[in-house]
Amino acid sequence: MAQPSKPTKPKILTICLALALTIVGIASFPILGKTPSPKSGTAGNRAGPAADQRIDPDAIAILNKMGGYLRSLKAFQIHSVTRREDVLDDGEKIEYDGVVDLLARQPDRLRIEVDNDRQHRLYLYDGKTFTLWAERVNYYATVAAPPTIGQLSDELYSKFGIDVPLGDLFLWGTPRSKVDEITAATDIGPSPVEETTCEQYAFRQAGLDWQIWIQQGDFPLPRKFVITTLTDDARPQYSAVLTWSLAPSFDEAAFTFDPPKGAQKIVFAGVRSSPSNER
Amino acid sequence: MNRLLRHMFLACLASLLIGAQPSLAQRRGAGGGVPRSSAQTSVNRGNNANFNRNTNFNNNRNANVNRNVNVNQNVNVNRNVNVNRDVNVHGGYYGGGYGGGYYGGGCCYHPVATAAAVTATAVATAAVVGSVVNTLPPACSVVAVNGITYQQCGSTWYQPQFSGTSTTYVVVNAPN
Repeated sequence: MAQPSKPTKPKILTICLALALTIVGIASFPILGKTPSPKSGTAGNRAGPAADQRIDPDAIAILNKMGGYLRSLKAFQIHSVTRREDVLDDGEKIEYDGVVDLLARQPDRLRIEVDNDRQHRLYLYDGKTFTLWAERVNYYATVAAPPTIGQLSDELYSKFGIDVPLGDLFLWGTPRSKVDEITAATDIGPSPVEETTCEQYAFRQAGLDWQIWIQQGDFPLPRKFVITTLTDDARPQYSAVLTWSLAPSFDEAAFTFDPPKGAQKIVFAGVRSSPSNER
Repeated sequence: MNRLLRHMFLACLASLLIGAQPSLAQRRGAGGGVPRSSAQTSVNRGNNANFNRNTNFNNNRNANVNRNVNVNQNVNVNRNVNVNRDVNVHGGYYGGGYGGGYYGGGCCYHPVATAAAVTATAVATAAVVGSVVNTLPPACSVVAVNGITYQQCGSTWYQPQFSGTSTTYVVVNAPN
């Protein structure tokens, strides 16, 4: 009943070893083995005099122009389709998709609804208080808030570890943006997003590679971005495609929280500088 | 030719590995319950991955405490324990973001593995005050004290909270 034709493991191992030795032999002859030659100006070459040459000043300029334009908008509404990757312990990546609906009246009203495979969250800011509501478990927490969206975003991040969805939109065009930390900036060329002609740019900064598609013409809006995290070998990505409305209709009630039936009030856990519950 | 050899070598390796490769479920189980990292979502913030990591790490570590409690609660099942129990578990999954259930904690995808884990850790008893879990044990009831919500699960009290945007439960002393 045995299968004599099937090679046993020791046999396979022997064949493998022989092949491995052959490959090593060939690779040691540079003419025969195509060993990749190190390219100049690839990743890792961040510091040094070469760094500045990798920054296209026009790309930085358009980023600043976009920031200035964002800051000039009185109110806007965005529907965004997002994809985010997690990395499991063994390096396998898992993508989860979602949507973000954002309504902002600058400088002090914000409503964001996030719905993805993991979470449904409503962020509400009325200039005085901030509320986060988790719909599926019907929990909400409320805290006193600073007077602008930018300050709110800073505070939520530093106090509670909450990164406001699409929060970059409120940081570009302010001194808090990290445009000055960019180490490489490249204009990739025209690329349409949702049938709108955009210009695609690629940037590098510490721990991140990111790309942005900025609408061409008089309305330099970010229409898409892709952020690649470099601090994990698996390089998980986040991407968002943004559909804009610059003349949204809304009323004040859009920014205030009216607890639904059965909603339970909970608290925000503070960010700990070091894990306090290692037991 | 070099290329051909490489391919043959890879094929060799693959055939060697197939026999010993663990199933996906095993791999997941061994890998722990939560992702090791998550893609950053903004370019103008510090490294927000750090926040995620801390949270996940703690949750993971304390998950055993939760399981211990589970066992205790199971005894209570006689006590009328509601269908709500399950809701709570799911609550952790949806609300918890990386809830233990999704990747390997096992509320939904690997019920057998979860049961085994519960049995294996049934020795210890009380949950440690200050420890954080992603999901509640079964048989909890909601109690509001001074307008803040608690979950009483047997003799253990949990306070639901937002850790970042995820809902977690921190073990607290009984509120007055």
